[in-house]
Amino acid sequence: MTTTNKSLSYALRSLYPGAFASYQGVVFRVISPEQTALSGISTDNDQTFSIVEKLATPAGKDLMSKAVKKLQKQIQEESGRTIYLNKVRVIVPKKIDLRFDDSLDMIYCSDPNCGTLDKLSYHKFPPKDKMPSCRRCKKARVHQAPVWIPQRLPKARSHALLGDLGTGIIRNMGVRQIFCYYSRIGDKCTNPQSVDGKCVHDFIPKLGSLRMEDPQRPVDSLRRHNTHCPKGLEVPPIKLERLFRTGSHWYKMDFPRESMSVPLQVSAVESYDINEDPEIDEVNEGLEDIKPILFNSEIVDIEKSKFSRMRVLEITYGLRIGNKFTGVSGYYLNGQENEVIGRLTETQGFLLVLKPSFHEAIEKLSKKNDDPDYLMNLKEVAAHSLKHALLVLAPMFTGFEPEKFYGSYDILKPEEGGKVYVYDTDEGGNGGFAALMQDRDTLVKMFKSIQNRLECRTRECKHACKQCLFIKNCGNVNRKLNRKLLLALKVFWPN
Amino acid sequence: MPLNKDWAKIASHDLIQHLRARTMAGLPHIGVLGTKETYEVDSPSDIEEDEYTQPTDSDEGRAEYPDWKFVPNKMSYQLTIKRVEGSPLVARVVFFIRIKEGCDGDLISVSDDRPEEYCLTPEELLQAFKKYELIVKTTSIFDPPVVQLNIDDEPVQLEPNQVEAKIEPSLQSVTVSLVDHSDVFLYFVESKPKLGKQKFRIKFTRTVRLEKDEIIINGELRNESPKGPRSVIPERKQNASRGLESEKDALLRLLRDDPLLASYSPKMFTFSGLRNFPSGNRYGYLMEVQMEENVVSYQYPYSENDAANTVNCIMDDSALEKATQTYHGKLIFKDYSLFEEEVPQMSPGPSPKQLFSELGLDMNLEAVFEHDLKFSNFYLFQAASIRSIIQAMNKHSELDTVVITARTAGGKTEAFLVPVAQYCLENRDKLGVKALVFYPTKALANDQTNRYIDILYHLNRRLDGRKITLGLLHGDISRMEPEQGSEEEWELPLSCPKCDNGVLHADGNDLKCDTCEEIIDFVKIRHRQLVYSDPPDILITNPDTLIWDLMMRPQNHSIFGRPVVVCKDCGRTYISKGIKRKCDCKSSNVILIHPTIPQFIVFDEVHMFKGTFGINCSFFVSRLQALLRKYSMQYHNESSPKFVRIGSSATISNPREFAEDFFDVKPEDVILVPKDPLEKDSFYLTKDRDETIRRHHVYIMPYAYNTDSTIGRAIYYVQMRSKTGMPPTHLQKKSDVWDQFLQMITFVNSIRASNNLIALTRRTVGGILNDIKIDGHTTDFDKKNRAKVERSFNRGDLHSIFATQTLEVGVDFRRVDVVVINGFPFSFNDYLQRIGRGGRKRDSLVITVCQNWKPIDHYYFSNAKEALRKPSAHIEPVPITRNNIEASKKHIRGALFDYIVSDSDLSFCIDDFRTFKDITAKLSDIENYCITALGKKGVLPNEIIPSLREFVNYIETLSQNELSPNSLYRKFREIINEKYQLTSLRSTDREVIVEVCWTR
Repeated sequence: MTTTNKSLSYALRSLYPGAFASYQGVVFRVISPEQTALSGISTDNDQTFSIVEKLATPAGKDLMSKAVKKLQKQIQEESGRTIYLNKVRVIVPKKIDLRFDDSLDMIYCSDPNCGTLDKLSYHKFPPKDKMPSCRRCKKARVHQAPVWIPQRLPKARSHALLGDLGTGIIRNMGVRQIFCYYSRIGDKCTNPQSVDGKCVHDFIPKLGSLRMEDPQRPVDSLRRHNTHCPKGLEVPPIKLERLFRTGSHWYKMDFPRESMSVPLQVSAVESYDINEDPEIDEVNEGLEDIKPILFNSEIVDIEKSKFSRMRVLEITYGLRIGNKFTGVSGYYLNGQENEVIGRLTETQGFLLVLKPSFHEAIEKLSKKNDDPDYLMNLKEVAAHSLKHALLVLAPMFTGFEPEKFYGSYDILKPEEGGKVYVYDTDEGGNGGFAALMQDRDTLVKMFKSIQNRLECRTRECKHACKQCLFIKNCGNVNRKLNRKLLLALKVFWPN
Repeated sequence: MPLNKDWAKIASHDLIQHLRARTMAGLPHIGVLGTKETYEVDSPSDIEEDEYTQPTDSDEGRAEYPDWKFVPNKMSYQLTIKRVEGSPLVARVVFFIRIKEGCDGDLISVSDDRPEEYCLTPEELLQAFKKYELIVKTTSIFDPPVVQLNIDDEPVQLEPNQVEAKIEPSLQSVTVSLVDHSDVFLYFVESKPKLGKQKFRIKFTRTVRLEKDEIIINGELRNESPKGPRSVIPERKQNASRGLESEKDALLRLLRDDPLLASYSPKMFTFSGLRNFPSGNRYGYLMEVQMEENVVSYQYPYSENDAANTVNCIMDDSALEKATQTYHGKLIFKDYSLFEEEVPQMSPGPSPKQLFSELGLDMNLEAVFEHDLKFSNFYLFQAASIRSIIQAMNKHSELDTVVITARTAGGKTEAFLVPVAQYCLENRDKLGVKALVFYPTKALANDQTNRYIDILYHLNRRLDGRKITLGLLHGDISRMEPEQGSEEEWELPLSCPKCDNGVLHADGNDLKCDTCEEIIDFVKIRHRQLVYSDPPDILITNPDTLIWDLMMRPQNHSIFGRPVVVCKDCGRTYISKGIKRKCDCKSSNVILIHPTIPQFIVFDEVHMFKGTFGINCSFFVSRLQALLRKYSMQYHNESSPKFVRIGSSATISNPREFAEDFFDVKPEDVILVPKDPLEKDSFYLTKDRDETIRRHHVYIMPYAYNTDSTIGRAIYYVQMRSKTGMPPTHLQKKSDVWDQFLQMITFVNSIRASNNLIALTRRTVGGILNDIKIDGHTTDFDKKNRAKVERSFNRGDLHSIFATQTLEVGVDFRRVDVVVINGFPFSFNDYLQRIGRGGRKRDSLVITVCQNWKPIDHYYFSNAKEALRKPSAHIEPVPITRNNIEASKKHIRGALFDYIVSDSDLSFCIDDFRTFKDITAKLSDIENYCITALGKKGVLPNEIIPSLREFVNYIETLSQNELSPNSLYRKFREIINEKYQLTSLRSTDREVIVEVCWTR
């Protein structure tokens, strides 16, 4: 058992209930034996109480209602279910439990000449802080064997919840597969070359091996065979048994990794000013003359768009298991309390204010003007894409990790326009956006590159590929993006 | 055996040939253009960073098809020239297509256990491919261009409908369509065997456009071949009664009714078995693709705009020559780049003798550099740095901060160590730390200790009496003397300054070389108490460790210049109003020491102090200076002590702004080295390249396979090339053998990637080369393991290590032959640091494998060469924003403890927390101290004073409620720090405890 410390923002983004997390090369699950709403998360009462207090203020209430609206909408899109929420209870984690998961129990020897398949639970006294050595060769350490990861079928309508978060829907290789292909329970051997049709009685020689036949196709070329047959019988490499597909998903094989789970998040932001704020004012003074060059004044309210202080409520309400884009998702709102993990921070960032003409421009571009849902969706796609456009290259031009920046957007009433926020994720701000906004040359270079990405000059994609706008930590798992819509709106570089 | 003189160049060329070889089974890693369907079906929109494979819905359930990634089917370029009248414009496109089965593994020489009749000869293997060479020559833009096609180096007549030329007033355009097909091959459709041919449709379009006096040339090669199935080699079945079936039977069994059976005559019938299971190859792809343009131009023919319009390839101008007025030669476009980095030579400055006599520095120090370290001269920048620091040391000068920026491997450490050592020599009779040197990581501090030991060893040898001492203080140094064999008993990878081969091991409180047995007695690294009881002249440390001493341990403040009582027997230290009569160890052998105040505050590799870590460290520096000022007044009767602050980095674009915010000083008090761009230019000899840094770069961006696979392949090949002389392809003769493993560091961006790659390469490379030793250096490995890895790598016992950021800065291994970069780090600074690990006074190979789904990799894939030519244009500023309210609140609360432990009365109360029950009585003093301690820049005092008052009240209440005599330290560690996290500098966020349970 080992204890480490991680910052809250890291924990929020990577270690939510049910998430997979790697430690010393082994993948664990955030889970606890007790069946609680947020399994594996122990609450920091002081901080949670402090958030409750802050959210009880008028400004806090606004933030909460903004977040709850977003939450309802996103859950509906994820699962197809409509839920009604007044508010959620935001929990700040104090301690997170990483435990070994049943679905990751299968192991194999890391020595390519051995590769013995086994189960960790078959080891009587495994070491408490590392993976044990192989029981057959006794030399190399074992690794976690590949697992089957669910993938949503294109036909399935939503990324709906497919199972209980606690039990997990990542599947192990079947237990049957850890034995030699020709061995059966008892002492039978079905290998045609076997004269007496019998296998040995010892358990370990019956174990099969896993071998990668072609390093260029590490997962595809995994084969099960048995080079250790006590009788020296030839056991050719055999494909691993594939899991059957269900009505909504199929399974893909992969090695266990942290990214088998991604968080589903919403964030609500408001910007605020304080009386004397020389450093913020200094940034804004520098931005004054460059804003009209970078942003289209017909869509963007140049005057109101500025570098500003921001208050952010971030909520992680669920997770998607499997592939980031086609995996299946679940959320853990339940009971009376509707507990979610989250945090309330004060930071700095850039506020882009959209004029009411933003709504008109979208309506002009839309083909289905009579459908308000369709129009709203299109507006959200535009705002979300805009947020991603402002975030996608910030790490590259500041040298900060992508997790250090995040954003949010509000679509306001047609007469009010909208707001897009991008901010530093560290409490109080880390200086990333401030530095970017102060460095005129870099800012120009970044916006040129953004435009290049939207136009996709360096990589031709026929299907309006939206990958140019993907960010690593998108709480909406990179849905609702359209770079061509941004180009049509001519948000950047009006001239 | 020494490596071949040009080994890195040879290895880089061979590696590219190997990864590009069309004869590789499946597809080559690079140089490939995909088929049309690949392009349309496998939309890249779903490619995920962490995917080994990219499944598409169509592949589901068809496991016989490998999951190929999206491979672009187009390569295009643009260039802009000012044409020299009459000079022809010639484009040349070369590529290969596969028409038959066959790969390297099918050659007679390779397939040891395959019967010869089923193997290919080299000639037969070469016949599996067709070489296409297309030449388009424009003599005049107003006439149709001349098009010539060579197949397998033989001219071929093009049909009229294959060439479509268009001539407009200022535009010439030509499209050449090529059609071909492969021989018959076997494939399976829904588990049924079938014979078929692969169609090839290839289009090359070139336009030459006249715009004003410039000509813009666009070339585009597009593979429009349909996506074909993967071929399979037929298998002969073994029957128990009849034995192995004949070739004819096998064919008839599989393809009895196939109309193409008559034209199907594969050479490579294989048999069922472990090694030669049926495999096949990919048809429809273009391989070893390369495009060229021959130009004669008055201007450099490739602009930034051209780069933006160049798709899936990089321009190579190595075959372009510059004459007096024109550029002539060819520009080559291909999907890799090979070049030798030209690092400018540092301008030589004065000799040690000249410099030291000019500045009146110590003769012994001069002798160390001149005779022991064999410095014929300092670099110009080193001389400027030394002069600047000495200027800043002048008590009458307002200048007090020096920021040195010079390229990696430039000798920055020596640049600040000379004045520091000089000051130590001048004040040798005074006990105490003279210079606090901060490093951002422990690995870096450990490694740099080597360099200090080297210089100080030679200096101390020349001194009589007290030696100049060096201490190391960070989280990995145990508090008290560690027990033998305990977890704390680990050793740093320190090498012997005398013999250079041996490793220094602990010998009591000293260090002893395991080879020459030299005793090093001036280094205090065995445990922390050595540092506190006898403060070294130079202390290497980090802010994370020192903040605990600053806030909580007044008995350790000997390093800050506070008098303490030291037990001569056990080394414990105590604050004292007079002499303490007995130590806790019952010894009466105690003395009072009066150490001096540190004069230098040095931060090396300052660019790593960015973001929240930088913000927190800037407040830490302010607090540290406030404490030093207080002690100076209290114990040394000096009301305004002068500190010299030094920052150094290879990569920082805003040194003045950084220094102003980080050290909280006035901009006019900062001396920059170099002071302006002009001086910066003078520091480098632009015409001469630095022969001591010879880095050969290989840039690739694989599409056909994931980057991990390509890295595994590259590591495998480079090691095999060196150890066994493996040729790039088996068609070539065996190369010269270097008979050794290359020392290799692979940098990855996450621990997960490191673990994956370790597992992968151990499985692949380790499976063939049993002697090769591979390990990791990430935070996943404990400190003992990491130190062991560093030591083993330095000794050459370990050949390949996979590391994250932990190893990227300043770590000087004796020998690094190959640096592999798996994907660009987020910062160009970090990239420069990573490549800087190789090529120190020897040749090195840098392999950068770009990840095709990342924008940053695309950017640097096209711009890296240019970026390395002018790194200063690409390095990022290091922002420090002191107006971070959270950080300000954290540090004003922390400053309360600075006040307590430095106060002449309160510091004696820390053993009993109950004594703070009326601390609010001192509130105005506390406020004054804490506000001053936070420095001048940052959040306004009125915003944070309420937090301080609230915190003081909290401490008072906590103290009033305390029943037992617990120490302040215990209370702080268990309750206060848990709640306010005052010692955490790496983040402004709260910390969360993560508990890992291995058993289920």
